[in-house]
Amino acid sequence: MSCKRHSPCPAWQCPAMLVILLAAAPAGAGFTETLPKDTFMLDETFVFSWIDSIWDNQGNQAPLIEPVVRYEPGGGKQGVIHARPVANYYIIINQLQYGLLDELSLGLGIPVVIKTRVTPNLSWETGDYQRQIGRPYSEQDFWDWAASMGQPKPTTWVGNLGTLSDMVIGLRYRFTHRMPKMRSLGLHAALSAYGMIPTGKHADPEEIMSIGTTLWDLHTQGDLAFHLSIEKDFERELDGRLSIGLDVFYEAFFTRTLTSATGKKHPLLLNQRPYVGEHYQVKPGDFSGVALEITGVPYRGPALATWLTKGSAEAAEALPPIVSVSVRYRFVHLQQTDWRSDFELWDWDHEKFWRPGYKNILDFKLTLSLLRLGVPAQIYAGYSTLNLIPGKNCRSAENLSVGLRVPLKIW
Amino acid sequence: MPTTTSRNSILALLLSVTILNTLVGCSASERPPNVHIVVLKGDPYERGFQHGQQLSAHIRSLYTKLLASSIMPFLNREQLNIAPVLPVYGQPEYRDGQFSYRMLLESGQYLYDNYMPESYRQELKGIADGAGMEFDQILILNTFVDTMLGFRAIVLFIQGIQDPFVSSIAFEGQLDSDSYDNDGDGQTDEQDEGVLDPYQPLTHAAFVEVPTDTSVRIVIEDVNLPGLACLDPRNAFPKGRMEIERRCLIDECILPSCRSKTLLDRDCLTEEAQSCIEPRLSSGCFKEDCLDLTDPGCVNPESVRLILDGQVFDATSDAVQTKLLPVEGDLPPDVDPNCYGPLEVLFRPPGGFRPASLLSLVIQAGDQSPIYSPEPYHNRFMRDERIVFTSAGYAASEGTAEFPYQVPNRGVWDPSARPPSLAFAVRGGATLDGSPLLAEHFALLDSDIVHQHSVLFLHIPDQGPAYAFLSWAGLVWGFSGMNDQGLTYAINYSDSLDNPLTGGILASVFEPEHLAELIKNPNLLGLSRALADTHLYATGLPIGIIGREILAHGAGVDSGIETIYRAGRTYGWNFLLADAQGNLAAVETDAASQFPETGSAPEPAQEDGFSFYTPDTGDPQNLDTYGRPWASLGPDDLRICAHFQKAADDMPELNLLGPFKPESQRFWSANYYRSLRAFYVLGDEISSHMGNIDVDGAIGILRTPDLVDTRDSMNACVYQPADKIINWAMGEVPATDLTFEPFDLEAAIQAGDGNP
Repeated sequence: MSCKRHSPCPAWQCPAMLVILLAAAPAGAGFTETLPKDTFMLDETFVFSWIDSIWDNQGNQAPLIEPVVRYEPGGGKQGVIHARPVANYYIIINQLQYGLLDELSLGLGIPVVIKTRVTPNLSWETGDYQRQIGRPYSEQDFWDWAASMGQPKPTTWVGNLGTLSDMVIGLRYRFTHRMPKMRSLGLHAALSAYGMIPTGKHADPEEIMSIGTTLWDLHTQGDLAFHLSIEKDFERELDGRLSIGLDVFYEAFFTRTLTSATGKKHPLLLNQRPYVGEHYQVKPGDFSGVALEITGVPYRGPALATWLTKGSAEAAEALPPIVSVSVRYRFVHLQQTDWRSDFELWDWDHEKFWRPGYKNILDFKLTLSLLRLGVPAQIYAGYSTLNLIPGKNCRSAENLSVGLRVPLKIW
Repeated sequence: MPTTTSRNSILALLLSVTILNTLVGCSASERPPNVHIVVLKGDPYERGFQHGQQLSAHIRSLYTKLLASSIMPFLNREQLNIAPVLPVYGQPEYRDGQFSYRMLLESGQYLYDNYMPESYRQELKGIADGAGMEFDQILILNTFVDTMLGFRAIVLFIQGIQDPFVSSIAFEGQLDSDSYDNDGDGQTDEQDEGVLDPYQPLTHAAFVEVPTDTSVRIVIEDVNLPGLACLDPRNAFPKGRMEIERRCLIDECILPSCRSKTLLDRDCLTEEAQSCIEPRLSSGCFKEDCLDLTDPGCVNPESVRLILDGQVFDATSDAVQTKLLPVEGDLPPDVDPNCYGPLEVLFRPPGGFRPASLLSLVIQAGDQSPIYSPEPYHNRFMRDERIVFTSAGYAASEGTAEFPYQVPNRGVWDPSARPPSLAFAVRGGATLDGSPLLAEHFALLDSDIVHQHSVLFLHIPDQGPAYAFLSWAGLVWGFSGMNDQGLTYAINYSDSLDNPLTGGILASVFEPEHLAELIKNPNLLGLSRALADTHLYATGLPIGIIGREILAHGAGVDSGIETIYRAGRTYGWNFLLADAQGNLAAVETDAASQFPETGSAPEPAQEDGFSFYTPDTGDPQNLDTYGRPWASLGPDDLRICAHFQKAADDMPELNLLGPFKPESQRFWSANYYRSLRAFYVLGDEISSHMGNIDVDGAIGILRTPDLVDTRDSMNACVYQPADKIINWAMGEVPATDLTFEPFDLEAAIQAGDGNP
């Protein structure tokens, strides 16, 4: 006997955990999927992320850092420091989901940053002729000058080695589970809520090129999130080879208290504490938006009677297809982020990069499910980008991910 | 299990929250203003406290960004140049980054203790208390300009005596047979008609009617001043490295444990060797054969650049030829015999000089001294020298310019030469309606910082007139202001070595035993011994406080002149005064450090360190030796820039000091030539608008591109003394790009809150 997501079925009656888990739906974490009761899912994802530009307030791509014009005190312009920093994140995301009920699942996400690298990629634009040295400042001249005052040239920063990010705990309730009319139409809807556990680390204020590991630093999701989702599977019309999902969401951030820099390592560039205050608050702008996902099955593959299905080929037929692909578009509206320190101008210097804006995110995913072949695993690879469709006041990150999902049933 | 109704309600609620938050959270941040208008009332302490309380974060920001993170680290680098000459600044308490802070604080403290009126002391204390800052920081913030300018002048002086210099300029050819008085000395065709030897900077042309097919011969010399007590090890061997070969040092300076090594770092040297500020070492430890090229005393021929009307001819150009001239007598010690001596530069542009033209020639050259610190690595470069001259036929084509003094040394536009501060005043026939106007564009030091801290202060004291001035957070003064009677002032810096810091040095030098030491050792070592206990203290009233005193104690220009006359000055300063009755006056001042009796006459008098003039051509004091007004085109205008017009010989002759003789401004100030140009261009602009100048017209003049410093502009203003209106522009760089905002002083005083 197989259990399809759209047919209520007590978990203990199902002959195999994987049938219960994944029957009849294209593989991949859809907007409304829940685990059968008493079932675990372990999901391990490795993410490589890189960021080298932002979408500015005019919707144009720009470097992460504005050019810095440098002046000799009373001596005119020395030149302009141009920076095109590239930030790379290497992250392992550990997720464990548990089916409290067939229609209610609990999830815990534990992201761990393996490493973050920020490469400054500095270049120099010469300024005014400087009489006292008989030439304009070259890049080397400028950094020699700065070093003579205790300010080193920023170099590549590597940090966050094995550092925890904010953990996320979530609940999903698929309320169409007990609505047979909806299910008969292939429609599924769910409410999800996520909350952040602040285990991440803020950026070191004394480092010019550092980034933290909190959800705010990663800018992936809010501290508290609510999602309302609906999916349509074309089980009858297209033999389950297509599904379309829609998700609307609101994600809120809480105010953070951060510590200002004293200039210990960068005395000329990061000596802010005297006028910013020892601490300052950041209230990140909330997210809201909508996502649309289309999932297709280009290759269903053979269904083998294996130990997974207790020798039942019919049961295997209900398992997810071997190859499925999905495309997701997300529009995320970003509210204004507020800085609150002792000095309003310093606040503005940060807020101007975080004015109201939006992200246009495209996600592509390929899932290879080996369940039909008797292997209890799903492997997937994904690519996500903010670069293809212009955004506004956001970082244009790109991600590559690979992952492994393993369903488990302990009892 | 939730019912359908409750599920629908939840959905509706979520949607509502989403929409509501999206709408509420949509307002974007806006940039806060860079300018504040602050009204201060009560006694001095109360006004200071209000000031500090209202602008606490801005004061902290200005102090941290401008001083702690910019100027102080920058000045700290100069310790390496100062300490060998003023040994007290090499002591331990001035090391580890403390030099500039302590020097500024000590000088500020000296001003505070000896010269600052009690009311300003109270006001400074009020600011510190109101802002929750240390008093020392507020004191430094309010006195650093006075100290820093004097200090900068001394640094430039010490550098200048070691820089190469132009010793003579001559036009070769038929100047001594062209029937023209080319050099304006009253003689025609005498021998050396076309020779300027010794060379000296001029406010006018060096020569007129120069033949077009002639060459100009420039002789540049370098000075070798031995005897520095501290030397950079990078000048020894191996060259450019911090370690030194064992063979270059005497045994007594090497720790016994290191004497077997061939290459030594600082840790291998004795305390005596390290008695200088790192990275320098005591020169007494070096053997001569490793030091012969510390200061070769040679001009670098490859560094020569000549700029003729903006066109650059460098040493590789066919138009420029250089030749080392023989040296008379014995060579000084420690110079390189292969390159030491005057360098002759012959310049002949392709096709000759443009006929019937006014031409400008800028001369640039450096020497071969390897200067590793302060970084970046460089040679010593002389100040750009500029001469102007006319070519044959110019006088006939212009109908004037027969004599050099008739041709201003204006130069041509050079994008790298930023105009300095300038101010002008007009009245009567120069204006559209007869009302007086005073306009200023002040530029000195912005560093992309200061403009964000701009403030217009309105003081309504318990006693005396109310007044307003343009300033910055934390400062009790500004470079221009006006009181409720319409008395208006504008101040520009005017470099002078006749300042208290130099005065203190000279006072030390002239002590008999010190003078004897210097005569015995006429080198830097002798100088440092003469100055063994000398500190750099500013004396006099901080310049901005003089401005406050002008406003606080008078209604007319005469009272302003009196106030300036009685006040001790901290540096060279030019004042421009105007009042509601249309009186105008310019005052040029310095510290008159060699004449302490200055300022004590019953009435303000023309004295050393104090010169004043008006547009009134009926008074010979207002005219130069050619019968021309010092700084006016007619009876109704007056202008100042960053150089002395009348007080051109600001430094008394002190030939006794030989190579250490402080020179007058025009010989060394880096501002001099660009101020001259700005002065003449400003005159042209006033002339072209004469009779039609109103507020908009004055603003238009300030906005003349050749007059705008786009790097260090700090504020711009047009004062209407008769109407008591201040039209101000500040908060961006350059300030003149902004809309000038009118501030009705009388209405603001009546309203009492800065909102007329």
